[in-house]
Amino acid sequence: MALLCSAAAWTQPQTRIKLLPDEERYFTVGLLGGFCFLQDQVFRELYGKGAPFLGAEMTLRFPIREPHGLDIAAGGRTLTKKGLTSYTEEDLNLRLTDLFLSLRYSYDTGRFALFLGPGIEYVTYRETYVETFPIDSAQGSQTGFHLTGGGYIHLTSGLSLKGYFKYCRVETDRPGFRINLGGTEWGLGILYRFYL
Amino acid sequence: MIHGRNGRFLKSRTSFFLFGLIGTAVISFGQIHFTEVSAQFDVRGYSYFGGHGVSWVDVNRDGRIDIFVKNQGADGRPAVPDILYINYGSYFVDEADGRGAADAYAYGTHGAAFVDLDRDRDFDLFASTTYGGISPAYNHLYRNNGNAFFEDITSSIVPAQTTDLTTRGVAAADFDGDGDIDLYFTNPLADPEPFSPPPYPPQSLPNFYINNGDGTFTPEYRGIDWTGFTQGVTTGDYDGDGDIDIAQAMWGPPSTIYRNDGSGYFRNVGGQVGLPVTSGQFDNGVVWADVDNDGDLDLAIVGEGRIALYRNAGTSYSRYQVITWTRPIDGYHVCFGDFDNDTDLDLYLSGENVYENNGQGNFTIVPAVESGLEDSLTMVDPRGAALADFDGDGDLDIYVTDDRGYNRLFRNDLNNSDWIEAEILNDPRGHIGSIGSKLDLYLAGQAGVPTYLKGHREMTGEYGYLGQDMPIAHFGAPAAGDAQYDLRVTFPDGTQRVYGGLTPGHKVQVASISPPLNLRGEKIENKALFYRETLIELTWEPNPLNDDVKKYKVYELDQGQNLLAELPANQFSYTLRNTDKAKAYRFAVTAVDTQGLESEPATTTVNGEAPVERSKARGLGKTLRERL
Repeated sequence: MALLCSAAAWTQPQTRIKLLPDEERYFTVGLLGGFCFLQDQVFRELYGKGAPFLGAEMTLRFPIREPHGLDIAAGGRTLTKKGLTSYTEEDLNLRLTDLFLSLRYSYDTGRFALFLGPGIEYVTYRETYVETFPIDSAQGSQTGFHLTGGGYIHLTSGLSLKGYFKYCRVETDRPGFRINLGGTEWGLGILYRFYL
Repeated sequence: MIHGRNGRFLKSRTSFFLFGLIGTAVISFGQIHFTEVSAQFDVRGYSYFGGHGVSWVDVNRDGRIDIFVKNQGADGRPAVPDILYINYGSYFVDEADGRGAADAYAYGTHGAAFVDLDRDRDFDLFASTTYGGISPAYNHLYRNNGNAFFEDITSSIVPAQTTDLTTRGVAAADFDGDGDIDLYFTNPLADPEPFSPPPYPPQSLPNFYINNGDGTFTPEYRGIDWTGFTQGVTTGDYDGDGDIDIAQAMWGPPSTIYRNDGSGYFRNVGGQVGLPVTSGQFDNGVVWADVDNDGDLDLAIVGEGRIALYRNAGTSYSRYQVITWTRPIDGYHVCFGDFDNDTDLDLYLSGENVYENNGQGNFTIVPAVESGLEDSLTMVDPRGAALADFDGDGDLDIYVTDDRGYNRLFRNDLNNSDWIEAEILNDPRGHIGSIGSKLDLYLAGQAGVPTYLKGHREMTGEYGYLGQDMPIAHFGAPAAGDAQYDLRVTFPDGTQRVYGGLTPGHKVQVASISPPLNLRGEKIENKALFYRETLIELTWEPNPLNDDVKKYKVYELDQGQNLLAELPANQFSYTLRNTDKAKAYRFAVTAVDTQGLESEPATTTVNGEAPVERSKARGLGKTLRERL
């Protein structure tokens, strides 16, 4: 999709309100935070609707024809959450760590930018239990995909604020039953930009 | 019964139908009638005979009463091991040999009693030996392993026996009141010369095996001298003082009563309580039973062609009826049972006939043509007999042994619901059968009021001449007018329990501590996000009959009994974790009282069904949905 959007953009010249220099490739690093809403019914029963997370990402932007560009983003986030087992109400601790790689089309006016694109997810999980529970912990990993979109507001030529949405689909059958580790993620970030 | 007087009438189909219909109606309304079924059930004994006594007992605890036949050998006959007929419902099979209960002595057994010697709620066996010229001739003890396989534990008698014995009748009860079952046996000597005329010099011989409670028995003399050849023996609390007395039938010396002083020592009180003191009688059997429903034990002594009936007047006896017969039999054994379920005890004499009680303890013969006991009158040498409801239809059937003929099984043809049976599963000391317990049946709401007493029974071992009834008390209890009854059970330690509002036609299971009620088990899914655990939650309710529960024990029954938990008395649930959701489980829960006595188990099976989902977070115990 990002490639399609970029191809379409290539055909049309645009005017930018410059805060960022033209036709520059740049690389950003940033911190992210937000709230993740897992779709799994059992998760919602045991842990509640969602959980906050912290993460980081880096993005490499390739201008195509300003203001159009293609971003490659990579990053990760982690969340921890306490819950209770469904019947015995014993303590549960869940840690979900997520690494992602996205390819995004971006529309950058120099003052603000919008982006949209797909990506892949690699989720590792670890759930730990109290002593009375039959097992100590359960852990594993699973890959999936996502679709993300959002926008930047450039505060200076090097600093931007980011807001985004991500929909993930990650399912695993490894415990012997299906768990949906995906869901929606709403987040904010602050990024610093290095020009290449 | 109605009998046709001419062949033409009987040949008519209509009249035959009417004959059966009327006959059935008469039996249903309480006419005593038996049918001889020993061949049908294959319980006739050996073809070379030798039957002397019988015990009805559920040795394998399957709810069906089995038969133990005590056989006596003689010169010129093959050895006659005892017979253990296991009841399979529609037939019996002799499994004495395979189960270790055949008793090996060549000359066989006279007295034998099944009694719970080790308080493990099964019936162990005390089998006597009658010396016949081959030494050693010792009495034997056999321990039931719970499944009716018997282990010889005679070596638990310490010091070991060294004298050959000529035991006839035996008795079992807690004579010394220490909570375990002691044993008494007659003729503790090798050759008592029964046909020699008395008097003999009294011999103070050890004729008790006192149970030490630790698995050993000590031979002791407890005040009962050997004064002459003794036949049958029985036990009961004739004077109502709470301890177990002994009565025995003798040849030569008069049959008599030995009064227990409360500590297990006995004194001959026969003359003192009004029994004959003259020598020379040849009595074979002695029976205690409450024939006039006044709550005490009347007495019957049988032998020498007569049954002498003695009424208990509190502390003494007076003879009030003598039954004689014309058949050339000595008279060995008398059974008392309510054969017509009319609340009074009727009488059966081995190899003779049944006598109906008029309600006051006076007996009138029921002609064999009416009672159906014609076959009883053909027995050659009838000996011991005993009563049981072997077919579970609520009436008392009779098994009779014959020393020189086939044994007989007379099935009672009564067909009504006018009965209540009470089986003691455990007494406060943990004994099944609870020898010495007293059971009194009253009209509902009148427990303890003498005028409303409808039956008094005392659990006993062997009685009469080598007979032992089923260890279940049977009462006639007419259901007319929707009558209900209260059953008061007085255990040997004096504690009582009342079972109220009993409806006729049912068996009551009596226990000093009863199992919990409404035991249920359910599989429940306990979820974490990455693990699904199947719990089994057991719940039960306290039994209102119990007032002394200290704890509950939870068992898993899987190729044995695996104790899972002991829980306090105020906890009525138990959760078993991490079970196999596809497997069926079986559980038992027992109640344990402060003395450590454990009830019979309440059991439940949790099938291999998918667990239900429940959430405590959304309301305790609320079912969210069931998985398909």
